[in-house]
Parts: sequence; C-alpha cells; structure tokens
Amino acid sequence: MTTGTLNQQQLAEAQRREMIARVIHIVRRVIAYSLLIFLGFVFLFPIIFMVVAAFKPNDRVIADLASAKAFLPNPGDLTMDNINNVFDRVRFGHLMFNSLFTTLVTVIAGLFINSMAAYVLARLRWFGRTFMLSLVVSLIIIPLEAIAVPLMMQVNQMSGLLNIVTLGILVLLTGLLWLIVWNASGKFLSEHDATRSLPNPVINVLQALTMVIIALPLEVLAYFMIGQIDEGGSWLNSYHVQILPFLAEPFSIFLFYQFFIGIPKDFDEAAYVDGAGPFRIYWQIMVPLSRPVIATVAILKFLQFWSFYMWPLMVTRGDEYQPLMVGMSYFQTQAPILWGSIMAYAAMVTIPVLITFLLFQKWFVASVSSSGVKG
Amino acid sequence: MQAFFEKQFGGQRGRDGLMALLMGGPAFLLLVIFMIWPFIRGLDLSTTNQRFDGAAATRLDPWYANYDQILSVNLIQLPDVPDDVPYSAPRAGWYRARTPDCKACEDEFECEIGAEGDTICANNCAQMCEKGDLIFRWRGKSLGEVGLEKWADYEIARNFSLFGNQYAIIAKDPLFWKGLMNNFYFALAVVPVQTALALLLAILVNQKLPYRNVFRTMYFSPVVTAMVIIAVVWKFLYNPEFGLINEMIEFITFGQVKGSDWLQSSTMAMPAIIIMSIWQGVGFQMIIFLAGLQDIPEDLYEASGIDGANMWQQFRFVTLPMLRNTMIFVVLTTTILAFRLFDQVNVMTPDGGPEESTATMVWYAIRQGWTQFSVGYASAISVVFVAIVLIISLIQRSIVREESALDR
Amino acid sequence: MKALRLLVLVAIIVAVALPVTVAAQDKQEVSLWFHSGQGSERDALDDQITRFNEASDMYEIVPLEVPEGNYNDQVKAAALAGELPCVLDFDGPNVYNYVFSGDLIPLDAHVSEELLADVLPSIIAQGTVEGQLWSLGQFDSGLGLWANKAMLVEAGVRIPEGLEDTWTLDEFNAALDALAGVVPEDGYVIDFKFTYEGEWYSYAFGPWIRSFGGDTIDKDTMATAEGVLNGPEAVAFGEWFQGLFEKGYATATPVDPDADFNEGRVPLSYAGHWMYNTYKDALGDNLVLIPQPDFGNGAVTGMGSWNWSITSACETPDGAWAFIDWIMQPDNVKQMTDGNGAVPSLISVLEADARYAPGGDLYLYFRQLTEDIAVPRAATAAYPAISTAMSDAINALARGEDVQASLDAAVDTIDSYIETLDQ
Repeated sequence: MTTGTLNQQQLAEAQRREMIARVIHIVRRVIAYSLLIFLGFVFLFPIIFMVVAAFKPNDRVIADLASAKAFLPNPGDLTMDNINNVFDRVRFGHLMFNSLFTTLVTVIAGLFINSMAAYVLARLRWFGRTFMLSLVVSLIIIPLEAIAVPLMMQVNQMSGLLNIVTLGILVLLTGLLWLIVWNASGKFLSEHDATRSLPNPVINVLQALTMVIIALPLEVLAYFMIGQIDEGGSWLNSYHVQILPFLAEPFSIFLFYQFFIGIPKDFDEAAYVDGAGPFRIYWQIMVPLSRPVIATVAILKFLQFWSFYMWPLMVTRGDEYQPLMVGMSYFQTQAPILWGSIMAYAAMVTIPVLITFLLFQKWFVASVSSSGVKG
Repeated sequence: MQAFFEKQFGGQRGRDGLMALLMGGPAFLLLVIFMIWPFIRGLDLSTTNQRFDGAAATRLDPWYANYDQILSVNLIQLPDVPDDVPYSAPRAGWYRARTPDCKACEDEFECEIGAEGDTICANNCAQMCEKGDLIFRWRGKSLGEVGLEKWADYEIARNFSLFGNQYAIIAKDPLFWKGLMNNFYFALAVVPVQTALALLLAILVNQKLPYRNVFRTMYFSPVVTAMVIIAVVWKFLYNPEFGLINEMIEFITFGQVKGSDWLQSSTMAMPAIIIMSIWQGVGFQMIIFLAGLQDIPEDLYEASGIDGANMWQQFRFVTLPMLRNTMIFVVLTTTILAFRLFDQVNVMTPDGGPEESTATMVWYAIRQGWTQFSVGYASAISVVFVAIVLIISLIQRSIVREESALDR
Repeated sequence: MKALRLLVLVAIIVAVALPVTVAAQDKQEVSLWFHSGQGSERDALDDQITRFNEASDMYEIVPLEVPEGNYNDQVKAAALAGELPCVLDFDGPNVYNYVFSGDLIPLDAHVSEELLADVLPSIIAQGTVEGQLWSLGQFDSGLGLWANKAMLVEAGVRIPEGLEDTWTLDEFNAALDALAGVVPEDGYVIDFKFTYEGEWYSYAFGPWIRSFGGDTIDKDTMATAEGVLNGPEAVAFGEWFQGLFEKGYATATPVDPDADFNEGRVPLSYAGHWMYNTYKDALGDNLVLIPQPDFGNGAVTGMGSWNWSITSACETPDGAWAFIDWIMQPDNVKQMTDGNGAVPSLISVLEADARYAPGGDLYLYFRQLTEDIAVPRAATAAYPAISTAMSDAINALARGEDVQASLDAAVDTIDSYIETLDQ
C-alpha cells in the first residue's frame, strides 16, 4: 500500500521532473537556435546582399540599398544583365582559368616541396638542421608586402644560373610526380582483375598516360616557362612569376613539421630496419599518415593565393595572365561604373569557392581537428 | 677536424645529409632566392635613395639616414596656450580649430573667446561651443620660430596636456608612428576579441544540435571570400547615408541610436575595419577551436559533472585548460596576421583614412614605395616593420614558454 | 648516336623554319599601351589601330588595354622593370616625371611644322619640357560645372553666358543657397564626383585653389609647396569648400552621383568633358555648361588630358611615330572626340565642330582653353606627390578635418618628395 502510493508519488514527481526537463530543453533549444540564426545572419548578410544585388537592375541596387529590400530579390525585375555584362566586358572564363591554374599549381606543388622540407627538418639528421629550422620559423613573420619591391627587381633580373636553378626545381618536381604516379598507377593496374591480364606494353602506355595527365599543370607551366626564357623574355607577365616565388612557404613547412614530429618514430624506424630509404619512408609512411595536415595546408594556401592581389597587379599586365582579383578593377575604374556588374563579378568570384567549401565542409573540420594545427 | 667531417658527412649522417639536400633542397633554395635574398636586397636598398622609376640610386650619407628619419622621436614641452588664441595659424604656435557645429554657429553670431578659453556668444551658441568643442591645435610648420630650433626637422605626431602643461610627441616622420600605433590598436582589439568570439562560436556549434553543420558553414563562409572583393562590398555597406549597416542600426534601435560615419570618421574608421576583419577572419579560428574541442575526451566532462561542476566551472576548469595549446596557436598566428593588415585598409580607405586613423605600417611602406616612388625609404620601413613583429612574436613565445615552465 | 640524330633533326627543322617565320613577319611589331577608361575611347582607338595595321605595310601595332585605375601603377612597374612598350599614353602631368626619369624620347625630330601649327597651344604647352616636345594628345579636357537648367531657373539663379559674366564667389554661394531650396528631399546641391580616386582632385581643385590666390606648388622655384598650398588663400579655399559639406550642400560619400544628376536629385555637377555624352542623353536641352567661377583672382580652369609618347626603350621609334602621326590626323581626332566628348586637340577639327562654335554646348570649353585661363598642372617631376597630396587633402576637407592641418600635411608630402628628388 505504502509502496504503491510512494510509487505513484514518485511517478508523478518523475513526470513533473521530466516535464520541467523537457520545457527547459525546449527553451534552451529555442534560445540556442535564435542565437545561431542571428549569428548566421550577421555572417551572411554581406554575402546575401552581394548575391541579390547581382541579379538586380543596376539602378535598383542603389535604390534598394537602404532598406530590407537589399536582401530581397524583386521577382518582377530579376535580371541576368549584370552577369551578361560581366561576360561582355572581361574574358571571365580566361581570368577564372588563370586564377585556378596559378592557385592550384602553387598549392599542389607547394604541398610537395614544403612537406619534403618539413620531413627533412623533422626526421633527418644533417649539418645545419637546427639553424635551418629556426630560419624557417623566423621567416614566417615576413609578409610579402615587405619584400614585394626587391622581389620584383629580383624576378625581373632572373637570368642564367637562377633561371636554370628554378627551372631545374620545376623539372625535378615534375619528374618526382611522374615517378610517383608511374609507380602508383602501375600498382593499381596490376592489382585489378580487369587490367592485370593486359600485356606489359599496354600497361606501360596506360601508366605513362596517367602520369602525363596528372602532371599536366606542371608540364604546362614548364612548357610556358621554357618558352618565355628561351625567347629571352623576363619573368614578368607570365604564369611562373605568379607561382614559383611562392612554392616554398615557411608557414606551410612549419605546419608540416609540427605534424611530423608528432608521429611516433617507431613507424619509420621499423621501415628503416626493413631497408627503406628516407624518400620511401616519407612517401609511404609519412604522407599517408598526414592527410589531415595536407588538407589543412591545402585549404589555407588555396584561400591565400585565390585572393592574391598585389603581386599579380605588379607583375602582370593585360588579361593574358591576370587572375580574377585583378580583373575586378575593370569594373571599378572603367566607366561606366555599374554597381550591379561589380556585385555580379564579386558574386561570381565568391560563389564557386563557397560551394566547394560547402561540399567539403565536414571533411575539412575533421581534417583540421586531427592535423595538429591546434598547436 | 677529420672527426668532425667524419661525423657530419660520413655514414648514416652523410646519407641523411645527401637526402636532406635532395628533398629539402628545392624548398630551401626557393626560400633563399625568393625570400631571403630579396629581404637582404631590401636591407641594402634601405640605405639608398632608390626610386621606383629606375633612376640610378646612390648610397645615403650617413647610410642610416632613412632609419634616422623613421625612428627619430621625442617628447617635448610646448609653450602654454596663450590667452588669445588666433583663428588663423601662424607658422608655429597655437590656433583655434572649431567643430563644424560650433563654427557654423559662430560665423552666424560672432562669438568671442572668454578668459578661460570658452566661447561667449549672444545666444545658444555658447552651449554648442563649450570648451570641448573648441579644439586648440598646435601648428608646427617651423618649430625653430618659437624657440625650438633643436627640433626643426621634427613634426608633431600628437600633443596632449598633462598637469596643466602642454606636451607633444614629435617625430621626424609622424606618419610612421601613427601607423605603428594603429597597428597596435588593431592587434590589441582584434586578437582578444576575435579569439574570444571564435571560441564562443566553436562552443555553440559544437553542441549536439541538429543542423549544426549548416551553422558551421554559415560562420565559416566569410573566410572563403577574397578580401579585396568583399572589402568593396563592405565599403558600400558602411556608407553613412545609404549604407545598410546604419539603416539596420536605426531599425533595430527604433531610431534611438543614430548610425555612425564609419569610414569617414577619425574615431570610427579603425573600428569599422576591425569589425569587418573579425567578420572575415573569425570563422577560421572557430574551426581550429572546434577541432580542439572535439579532441577533449567526453569523460572529462562526465567526471566533472558527477563532481557537481556547473557549466561555467566545466568551461573554466576543463575546456580552457584543454584548449591551452590551441589558444596559443590561435593567438600567435592572429597577432602576426594582424600586423600585416593591408588589403582591407587599401580598398576601404586608400588614403589612410580620416586623420590617418587607418594608416598601418604596411600601408605606409606601400604608399612610400609604390605611390611615392621612394623605394629606398619604403624598404627601410619594411625592415623596421619586420624587426618589430619579430620582437613581438619573440616576447609572446617567451611568455608562453615561461607559463609552461610554471605549469610543470 | 640516336640522341645526336634527334638533335640534328631538330636543328634542320629550326634552320628551315627560322627564315620562314622571319619571312612571315615582314611587318615590325610596335607595342602600345593605353588606359582603358571610357568605352567610347576604347572603341575609337581599337578602330584606329585596326585601320592603321591594315594601311601600314611596315608596322604592326600590338595594343594592350590596361584599366585606368591600375594604369599608373602598371606603367611604374614596367618602367622599373625596363619593360615599357614603344608607345605609351598617360595622363598629362606625368610627362614631367617620365622625362625626369629618362623614360621618354623627344618628338621634335619627327613632328612636322604643319601638324604643330594645327595643334592647340595648351596641348603643346602640356607636352613641352625643357624646350622639347615629348608628347601629343588627340584631345584636351574641358572642365566646368554641368547644370540642370530647369532647376537653376526654378531657384532664380542667373546662368552666366561666358567667361565675362561668370559667377563670383558671392554669387556662387548665393546660387548654392538658392538651389538648396529647390533640391528634392533625397538630393543635394552640388556633386564633386567623390567616387573618383586619385588624379581627379588635383586636376579639378588645383584651379580653384589658384583662383582663390593659392597654388599647388610655388611656381617660381618649383621647390616647395610651403606658403602656397597651406597659405591663407588656400586655407580660405579649404574653409569655404569644407563649409559646403557642413551645410549639407555636398556629400563626400555619394553612391552614384552620375545618376543623381541625370535624375534631377542634384542641380550642379563639377566634372569634365567626359560626362557630356551621359548627361546630354539624360537631360537633353536641359543641360547647360557653366564656366569656372571667379573666386577672386580670375577664373581658372584645368587642362590637359591623356597623351601619347614614345619611350626610350622603343626599338622602332619610326613605327611609333608613324602611329602617333596617324592618330593625330583630323579624321581620327574627330572620331575620338565625337565619342568621348573631349575637346579636339586640332584647331581645324575644333573649328569644323558645331558644338564648339558660338552657341554650341561646348563653346565654353573652347574659350576656356584658348583664352589663357587654362593652367597646366604643375610642370615638375614631383607631380606624383602633388597628385597624392591633393587627393588626400581634398578628401580630408570633405570629411571635416582641420583645414590648416590637412593642407600642412599635403605640403609635407610634396616637400619631402622633392627632397628625395634632390638627393
């Protein structure tokens, strides 16, 4: 009897508690979501404004500026004029290619060079290692703006030995990439049933083909560079002047270094005992383990070079080699100044990157979280 | 001797050395060619009068003349404000500058300056032109003419009164010092605020809420916008008359708070740049903190929950200590980036802002080297800039190191 | 051996191909840069280059368009790199700096007496440094106040006929006050084109400071701006100019001033000839040009515009000159100025153009340029500093910063630049 009432009381009490807990839960959710949505608005409103303005007739952009209408597309007069105008006034596709090409080559080749350097600093024992390490760390603080003018004089006077050295580095990188792709594709082809039975020459041709295709950006770059040097031209107004000076980057080396020293030494010592050389340890053990830091450095550098502005402005003229950021000035300083077109251009530059990030967002967070960037 | 070479270049070490050369060589070589060597050339240029247009340069005499110009700074006492401050300025001395309202009023009603430097007017101008609105400015075009011959090469960077006396910070190149101060202002505002905000956002989006990924993406999206592009949009938004931001401020506060002049105002231009920079940059730090948060083992929270810790205590005694390394990383990198401030300033206030309130060191170096052709002088500014940032990061690092030593 | 054979093969191909390519390129290439500002200028020049290339069997012009906002920066970078093209155009006053830096060659050896006799004196004055002619342009600029006639009439403001009866300072102020009464709620009284960056401020407000009695540099010594750009006369200009913003007559942060004028929100627009076509399309006969006001020392107008030079890096100066000579032909000058509304630099073209005849829309430009009130921008190698300093100072004044301090800062910028030149 007593236990029964007690049970009932307990039950009622428990229900009450559960009710309160649920209400608290709901209230907390509501507060949390309102905060999240408010913050979301704060972070997105300039971007929304930009995108909406891109689809408005030019005069509406300004007329709607000072009201909530700035965020609302006006169904009546949505227009593609601005977008079309962008395509009319600049070679948008070409600028996009320039931006993508220079950025991707800088990022991908940079990953190679910087991670190898970091590996050398983290694992190999050689004369001058500590000096080099502190040098690299202190170079992090030098911004491009501080050395832009002497750097420009430098690339302008590139000749003879320096041309050969830099071209040599580019060729070395291409060769390295060929080697890696050759081996990897060979392994891939021999492991799959469909291709295993193919005669050797065919496999070799396939290997060579993948090799050439994957390394295409580097090959194209080398091709352009050889052509330009051969003509006796200076480095100015080219792709390589926007790429080569920025391949090696202290901050990337530092991030890789930090990650590498965090990998237990047992891993590579086991391989070392098996007779693997430093490059094989780097390629077969360190690189597969460092996907997170690769992703992080890649994204960091991508964002950095995608928005590169001052250097291309200094070293390129005309739209042949100019990136998207410099192309903005065609709209800002050439009459007529149409705000609709400026916003359209800004949106067309921003949206592709935004979408790419959206697609890889989850993966990116995961990468950073295991990259050791956290310090 | 032989043993040394044996040790360095023989056997295992020798093979490592060869591989280090092969694998690290490209990066180190490129760094030397495109970073270290230009920097050394910059050092060399900084002692010359090199100009941008390629005219022949000569070594300065003395070689440190540019550095002398940049770094010469001093504090002097100015003559007292006279009783009768003239409206128009002599070449050196005190003159009256008035705020716009006061000036308009005075022009209309012919006011006089009273004994205490206040303004006596026939009507309500008096309120408008109270002492605060009257600005006594010091004009120092020729300090020699007022008995300060020693400082003839100097200009006033800032003057202020202390204990009834008037003092001035004088420098040979006041704009550099303004830039330096603006850099500190920016860094001191951005580093703590952005770090705190990033942590807050990270905690918010680390809750187990449905759709949290959507919000993460939202907060991160400004990071992927290019600064030179998005700064153009922000300049538009900051327009005092038509800008969306002022409209929103007035809308949210029901017209109680008037918007600001933002980039047109010497007090608000830097805050405007700061807000915009935090908006653009905070998402990245958020992701880094998020990564740090996800590495904190769940059972630490469970254990502290059992011990009766509330949310704040959990944050204070579990989250913060566990995020220590992340925090250090974020603060160190944000500081370096903050000192590099240039792109947004250059787009939004190309002339350095009202009363040079947004001029920064890098902006000034570019202005000197690029706009004014004075490459030699710009190089000297760059060298000083790098030295300052180096010192700051060394100080930061040593603080971090000492703290870790104490922890142990 | 195989490698050697390959090498030989390559050598043969090269040996055969080389003469072929040389033969194909019988025309000498002449590189050319031009600033790409207005669309109409772009179109006219593109057409002239195409026709030149078709007509010439000696030279092939290879043009490169650079956006106006980047133009000076890019030319500077190219000069530093020794990568200047053969033919270059640049905004008037930069010629002094380029000559000082040794970037140009004089045109005297090429130019014919006949052409010289036809070119506007202002253009020759602009291109002449140290007694030699370095540059020629297809057009000169016109500067004045564009006005909305209907609004002026509504406010009861007198419209001056010409230079003789142009507004005085008092009359200008009275006109502004009167116009303030008729502008719509969302309008303002006078547009100063604060959306422009850079050179505009020196070009437009230098003459006004001069008319107040000041100047941008001491024209006697060319060694300092002290006492002229920050003297009492320039300060008077500053106080007056700042007052316009304080009274709300002008705005330092317009969003689209062209549209404001076109749509009747602002009755006065201080701008150059380049707005003629836009404004004329919108206002028609309601558009009227008001000459430069007389601020006390006579009306002064700006002059000078983009002009062409041959660089010292040019390997085919004859080809470069052939092109400049070609675009200076009356038909080509007319084609350009019909498009951009600028003042033709050839007297023969001017005289044949109804717009510049008495009663024409642009007659005032003709008079301003020929009646000795046009003053070239300071002929000094320090011009880049003057341009920057003026831009900073005028913007500072508009924002309400202290007049004396703003002008002092401008003087410091100019003087310290002159010091670096002297070193």
